[in-house]
Amino acid sequence: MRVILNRKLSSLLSLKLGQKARVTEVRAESHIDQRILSLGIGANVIIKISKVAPLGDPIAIEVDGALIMLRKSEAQGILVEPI
Amino acid sequence: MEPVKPIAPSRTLRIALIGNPNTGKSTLFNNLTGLRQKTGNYPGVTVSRKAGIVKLPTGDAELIDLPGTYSLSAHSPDERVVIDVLNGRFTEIGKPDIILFVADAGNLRRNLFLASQVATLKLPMILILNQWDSVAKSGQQIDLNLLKDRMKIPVIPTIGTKGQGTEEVKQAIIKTLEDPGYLSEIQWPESMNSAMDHLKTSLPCIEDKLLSESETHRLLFDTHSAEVQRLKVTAEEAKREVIKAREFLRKDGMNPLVAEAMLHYRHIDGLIGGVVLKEADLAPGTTESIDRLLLHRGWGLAAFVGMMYVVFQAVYSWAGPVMDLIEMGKVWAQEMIGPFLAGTPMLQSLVLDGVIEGVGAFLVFLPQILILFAFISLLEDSGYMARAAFIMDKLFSWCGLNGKSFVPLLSSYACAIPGIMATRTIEDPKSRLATVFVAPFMSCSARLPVYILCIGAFIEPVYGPWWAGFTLFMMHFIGLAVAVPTAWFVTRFILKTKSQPFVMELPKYRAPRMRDVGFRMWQAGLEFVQKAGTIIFFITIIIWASLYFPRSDSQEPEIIAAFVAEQVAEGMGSTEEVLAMIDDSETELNQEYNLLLGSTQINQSYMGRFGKAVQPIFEPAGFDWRISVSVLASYPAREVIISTLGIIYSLGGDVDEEDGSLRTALKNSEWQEGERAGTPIYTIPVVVALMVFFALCSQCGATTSIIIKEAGIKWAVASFVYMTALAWLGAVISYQLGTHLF
Repeated sequence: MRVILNRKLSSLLSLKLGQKARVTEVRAESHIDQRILSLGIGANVIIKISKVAPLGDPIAIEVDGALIMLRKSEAQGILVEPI
Repeated sequence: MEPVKPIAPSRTLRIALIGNPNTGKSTLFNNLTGLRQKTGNYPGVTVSRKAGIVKLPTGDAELIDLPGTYSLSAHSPDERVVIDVLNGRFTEIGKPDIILFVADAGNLRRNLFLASQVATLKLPMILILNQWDSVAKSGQQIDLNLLKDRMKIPVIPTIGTKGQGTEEVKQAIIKTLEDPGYLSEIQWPESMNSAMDHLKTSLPCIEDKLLSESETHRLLFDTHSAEVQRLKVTAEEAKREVIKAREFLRKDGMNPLVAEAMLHYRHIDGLIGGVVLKEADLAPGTTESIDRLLLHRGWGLAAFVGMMYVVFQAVYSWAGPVMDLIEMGKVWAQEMIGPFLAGTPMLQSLVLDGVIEGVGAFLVFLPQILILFAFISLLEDSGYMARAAFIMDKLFSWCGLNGKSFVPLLSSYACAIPGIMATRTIEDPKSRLATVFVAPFMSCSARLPVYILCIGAFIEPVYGPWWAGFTLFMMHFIGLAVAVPTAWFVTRFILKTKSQPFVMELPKYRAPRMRDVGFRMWQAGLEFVQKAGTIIFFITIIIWASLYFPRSDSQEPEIIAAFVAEQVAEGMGSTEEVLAMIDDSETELNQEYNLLLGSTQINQSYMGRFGKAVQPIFEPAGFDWRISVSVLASYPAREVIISTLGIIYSLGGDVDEEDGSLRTALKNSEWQEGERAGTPIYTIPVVVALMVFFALCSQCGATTSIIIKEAGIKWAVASFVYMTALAWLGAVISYQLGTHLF
């Protein structure tokens, strides 16, 4: 069994709307995660959920002053630490 | 370091324009090339290809506009095209000599990720910082001189929408010819070099040429890299070697899937450290304020519905008058040219009913295409298109489509031609093909005449206006009801490629430039006329021939003799008198005879014979041979059914759906033989079956042509067969249920 060492480690989706967080890890397991990484969403970057679509999915996150939209299923692999 | 040597190709200079989506790349392309552009598809893939000519003092150069992409990872066909063009894998395009890299000045770090990847190709590069005005507007400050020093390549700030910087870019190209600059490459760690060496030696390439460095990176870093297809070995063998190569990175403490992004961003941070003097203001800017409204749960949805209503209305109704004008022009041309060819009936018919009809058949779509593309350009250039996709995605994602499918599908309710062309805006090829496939199910305006004829003649008089309205609604709904499971099935079982992530930027709002809107309309129109137009034209000619032939003048005496005998028997006068009346174009008898002749000729034509031959197939749907022939004759264009019915019932071809005589003729028509002899053909189940058939069938040569062009012949055939089968099934079920239940 995997031991979770860092208690603060949580998924981006657990953040409240507008709450800022620092990315701790992007679980690169698929090409979707690679795309997220190539957009500059990597460790130590500050992000927040800026918008939620009227139907609840997808979400738009703010990174480096840019709004990037992604589906919730795609945002799951982004692990953050609220600040 | 590569030795600096001047670039002097003996052929036309080739320049590739590359950058992230939403950086204003197309605007720059328009500024650099003007109207000297051509569009098409890349060989073998449905990725649109755009190239143009840049006039330079040194001569003409070819500018290739590559699809916007965030990285070189060849996950989607769009991205694959980028890496293939950069590596010179398309022989007819050739390797570019110079890279024009377009970056959004306000998002330097993220944009340079792709630039850093492209640098591994060792091609001379020019960095364009577009949307330079937005930097100052957002309160950001960039030390341009420091950036120029660090980059060691020409760095040119531009404002594409105002045309600023275009000349400087051209000068930089000329300077690069003499003194090419290369963006400093990432310094890979030793473990990376070992991994690359391992791949290069262990994996032979098909064409006996080694994979380039950038292609080897793709093999190493990407999950399921498409580069595997370039190797001599099987996918499994390649995978084994890639795992071995990745071991070098793992031993060095790096996760191979994260390593590339990490190393490139580290390299970029080194390059631009200290360049951004002041970050953008955190205070909400204009974009944020607009988004508060347009992405709001309630108001956002309302604004979206409102905007889409305008788009739909524009395509559906505004195009009407222009389409009528084209229709009038067609009739005028037929009337003008007709008399000159009166001596040669076959040539006359070929020119009037074949050639002019064929040209009209595709010209009539132009107004809708131009209007839709004007709106698409406005929506995309303003930044709203990405938001529309954001709002709608949830509704579409579960059946394999995505938020960008909405505009094409909505437009298809007016006409599938512009709708299918609009699928170009969908980057994910899987969603795009599925959208192309289901778009013809949306009940287009050409189906309306059939509904109006059937409902007006049979439903409304019996059941009243409420049921008439309900039937009309159901006919529009049935296509959608079929399209959704079809999309689900196609994306799940037919298109087995992996889904693309729906990750994209919501760009800052910008005022669209009318010049770019004009370019977009011009391109869409030209491409339609050149590519689909020719196919539509030939389909029309073929259908004309199948309705015209075989026709021999020797039959006419028999027909005339029978007609005259009948008239004489009815007491119209002596044989001579009747013949004289037939010859006089002013008399009713002349008209009646011509209508009979038309109806006899259609009966004898290949199409008529074919219709009678296949009538047993339509028997379970309750169609008689007349309906069967009309249905078949409507394959090039569904609205043709009205005039075909008119000809068959000897009313002439210029009846319309509101025509009382056609309605009466349909109501009065009865089975001639068999056990149903004497009973009406058009019972309610038959009428419903006929409407369902039209709602689902692929009866539009233009749509088939546009599918051939946008998705390839295989998809066009699949669409035709699937829709026809479904239409038949739908009609049979409606008729059988209708006759047995009621």
